[in-house]
This record gives sequence, structure tokens and C-alpha cells, in this order.
Amino acid sequence: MQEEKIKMTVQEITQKIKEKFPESVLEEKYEMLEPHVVVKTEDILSICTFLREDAALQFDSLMCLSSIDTKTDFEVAYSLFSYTLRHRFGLKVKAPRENPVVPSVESLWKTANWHEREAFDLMGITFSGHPNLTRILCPEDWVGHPLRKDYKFPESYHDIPWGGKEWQVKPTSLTKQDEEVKKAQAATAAAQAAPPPAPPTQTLPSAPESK
Amino acid sequence: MPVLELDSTDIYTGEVKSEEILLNMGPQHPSTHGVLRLILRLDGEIIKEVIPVIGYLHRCAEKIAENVGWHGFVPYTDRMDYIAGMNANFGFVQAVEKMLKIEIPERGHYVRIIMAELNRIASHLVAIGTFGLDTGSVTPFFYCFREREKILDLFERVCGQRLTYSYYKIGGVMGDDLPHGWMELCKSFLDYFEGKFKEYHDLLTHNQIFIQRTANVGVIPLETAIQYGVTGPCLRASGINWDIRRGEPYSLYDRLDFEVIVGCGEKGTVGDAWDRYHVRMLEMRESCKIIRQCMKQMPSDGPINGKIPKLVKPPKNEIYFRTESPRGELGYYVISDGSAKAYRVKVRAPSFSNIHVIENIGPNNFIADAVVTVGSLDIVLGEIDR
Repeated sequence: MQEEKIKMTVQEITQKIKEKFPESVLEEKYEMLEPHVVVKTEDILSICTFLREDAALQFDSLMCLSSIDTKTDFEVAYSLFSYTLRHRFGLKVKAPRENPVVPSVESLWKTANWHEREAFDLMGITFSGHPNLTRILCPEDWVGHPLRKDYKFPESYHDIPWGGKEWQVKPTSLTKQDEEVKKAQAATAAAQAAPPPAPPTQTLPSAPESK
Repeated sequence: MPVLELDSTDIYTGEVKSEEILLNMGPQHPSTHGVLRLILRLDGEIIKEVIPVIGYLHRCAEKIAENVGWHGFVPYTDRMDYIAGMNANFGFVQAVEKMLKIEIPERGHYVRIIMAELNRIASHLVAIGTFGLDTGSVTPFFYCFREREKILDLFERVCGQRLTYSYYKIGGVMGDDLPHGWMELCKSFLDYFEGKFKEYHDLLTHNQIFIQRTANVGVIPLETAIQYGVTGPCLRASGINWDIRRGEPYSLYDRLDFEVIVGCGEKGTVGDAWDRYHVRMLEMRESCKIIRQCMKQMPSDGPINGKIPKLVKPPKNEIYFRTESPRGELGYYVISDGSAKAYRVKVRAPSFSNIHVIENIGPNNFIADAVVTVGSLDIVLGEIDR
């Protein structure tokens, strides 16, 4: 039975999606080492439902959900795998930089629950329809989303300074450093030129007189 | 003697009330295997809800990857999965090599596989030993660490490190060759180790107390396991024949003959804690088999490192590369923009999804079973929090 099941290539799977959702596929990137297609953001949930439920596709597992900051917008990459048919597929959606919202796929794969929370926490992408979209790795009161390319590290957290002014080691100017080096070099040269100091005469303490 | 007279007001005749309580298990608790915090909603001794809280070890390694360069991130990977550092390195370096389109010599591949499998044994030994500790048997812990110590000695001879190896590098491994006589040492370790399996089976596998403590506990049905993204020994224990080394062979695993161990519910239900333990136990024997085959097939001479460019700059590309780490599917989603630093590295850590499943299997069990369930999942918090 295992042998009869047909593994499908990424191109074939894309073709199936195109038949079902004629206008959803925006880009096809087969030349990548991880071949994937970019689809319309609002269609992601229905496409994923189709990929999961269709008898010829049966994508029963979500391997990975990654978030990417492309500097112009955000992307969410889904890496799908089918344990029954043993084929894989890559999907990608784009979200605008201002108020990025992507429909959640948590209802299809429970794995997405934590991966989406992670993407929300670190990249700041909101997943609509997620049951519990809270920070997962950073503290709840953390400000900002660290994996964004324009993220600025906070100077303090709960009044604990990090890299603040009082903690910074001020680099001395090059000229000053040079002066110090020159001084040190001159001192060593002078020490070498001068005759070695006479060894200090040691006076042994006299032995205590025996009574 | 005065007779104690009970007044009617002393006897409580009202309704007896009970209420649910919230209990914090961890973050500092020996049986959470690190800084994991579980919020348990309890009704007496029965768990009604489990909420895992993670992130205490968060260092944002993915942000670090964007700043340290390709070679520089390798040491960070083994600080994520610090129990199996070799396997953590293995995935990342291979992902980058795929992007660079470089091949490393055959001998290098075999050396890498030997190290990865030795580390798999060491990792499973820690899992089994601490699992024994969780269930109340102390002796296996010492036995396991005795054997692990010998593996660490072997690693120390190879790369000087005992925990965070950073042995693999892009294009090969550290050093030009294995130390003189290392193969003989490794062979003598395998001979020694294979003789020790009986001890473990006597102490744990066929131990009635251990079986009663672990069989039918923390059962993960296959459907749930796939839904939650559980991978590795925990998934195989639920009864599916899937191993990335066999299903999507990387390196030279397609040349090696080994068995994929699947849980069969020998002592209880398929996918219970005992099955997960037993899968790990038998996998160690398979790893020994793999190492012996590698030694036989390996070319005795020749380079182990490939030629890589002085400046590693993979062309613009994306890859999701996954390997079978001792805990499961360790995937790296790597994006390169053609510069000397990674544009984005996303680590799909196996423990991250493996511990998530406790939300589903924890409730309606005894609180003591939660300890066994967490122990049988074999998590490493370093890679959960990254």
C-alpha cells in the first residue's frame, strides 16, 4: 500500500492549487532550494484547508512556520509535510509593514499555535483568529519585536540599564593612545639603556641569642 | 476518666466544599529538566489544565545569527541543544553547504556521522538516566553517566570539548584528521557499551516497578502527535515508521543499514511513556550498528575537509533543511542575501513542539504522572527558548 501512494512534486501541487483557486497564486519560486509559491494573504486559510483535506495532497503536518522581515514588508513561510504521502510543499504570504495581519492556521495544525505566537513575539505579525496570541519567549512587558530589521535594543529593562551611558566604556582617542604608547616605549628604552641597578645588599637577620 | 462529650455544635453538618487550585511546577524544579514552568490547575490530585510557560533561557539566537556571520553561528547552535551539540551543528553546517553548493569528501561525511551517532547515544543515555530518576530509580542514572563519560572522553580527544563541541564547521570538521588511534578507542567503546545493554534492560525495561510507573502514562495518540508536530523518538513511539535519516536521507545515511524503531505498546498502550523510553533504548543499539558500518565503509586515508572559499558568501537563496536530532526534527530555515552574514535563520527546534503537546496529554491525569510525562518527552530548554 505504501508504494502505491503517489508523491507529488511542488509543480504538480501548485497546479492543483491553481485549479481550485485560480487567482490566488502570485509568484512561483521553484529555483530556490526550498521551492515555494507566494499566495494571497487572505486566501491562506482556505488554501491550507484544501491542502490538508484533499485526498491527493493530505498535508497533515506543519513542519515549520517562519517569519521574515524583507525590509519592505513581512513574510510568513509555511513548510508543509505529509506523513501519509511523504511529500512536502512550501507556501509563503506577504503582509504589509504597517499593521501586518495574517489569518491564523492554528485550527488546522496545532503546531502553528506556538509558532505563530513566536512570530508575533519576535516579528510583530498579528495572526487573526489565534486563540491566545501573547508573547511566548520574551517577557510579557517587553517593548518591540527583536527580529525586525529596524529593531533598537532598549537601553534599560525595569530600570536595569543595559549598554546605557553609565555602562559604556569610553574609548580613548587614538592620539591619546598613541601618546601613551610612545611614553611607555620611551620608558622601556630608557630602562634598557641605563645600567642594571646594583643588587640590593642583603643583611641576614642575626640569629637570636640562645639563652 | 472523664468522658469526652461532644456538643452538637462541634460537628460540622454543612456541605463540604472543594475548589480547584493553581500550582506552579518550576521554573526551578528538578523534574522539569531545566527552567520550564508548568502552571497546573488541580482538582485534588487530578490535573485539569496544564499551561507551559517558556522563555526563561531566551537569548534570541536567531537575531545573533544575523549579526555574527556564517562561521560564527556554528558555536551558537550547540548552545541551543547542549545535550546533543554535534547533531545541532550537523544541521546548520549542512544547510549552509547546500547553499554554497560544496561537497565534502566521503571520509568527512563518515566522520560526521560517527560523531552524530555517538552524540545520539550520549543524549539518549541522559534521557534514560534522568527518566529513571524521575520515576524513582536512582541507579540507572549513575550507570548511564558512566557510559556517557566514555563518549565525552572520545569527543574530548577529537575536539577538546566535552559539552559544546562546535566540532563541525562549514566544509568539514575541525582539525585535519582524527587523532592517531581514535578509531580503535571508539571500537573498544562500542564493544564495551554493547555488553552493557543487559544491565539497563534488567534495571529498567523489565523492572516491574518501572513498568507500572510508565506504562499507559502520558499516552500520545498518533493523530495528536502529528497535529502538535511531535517528532523524533516521541513520534515513533506513537507508532509511525518515520525517521528523517531514512525518509529524507542527508549526508551518507542512504548507504547505511539500520532499523527504524517504532513503538508497539508492548507493556501498555502505543505511545505511552514506556514506549518512548524503549524506542530510545533500542535506538542506541541501532546507532552502534551505524557507527560500526561507518568504520567499515570509511576510506582509511584521504582528506576529511572540503575546499571552501575563504569568505563564505552563499548566493541569494532560501532553504529549509531538517535533520534527525536525538530529540526529533531539527530544521533550519536559512535565508541568504549574498552577504557574509545570514539574512534570517529560523530554528525549528524539536523540543519546542514536543513540549507543546503536554497541553493536550497532561489534563485528567495525576500530578505525579505529569513528572513522568515531561521526563519521557526528553526536552532541552536551551533549544526551546533559543
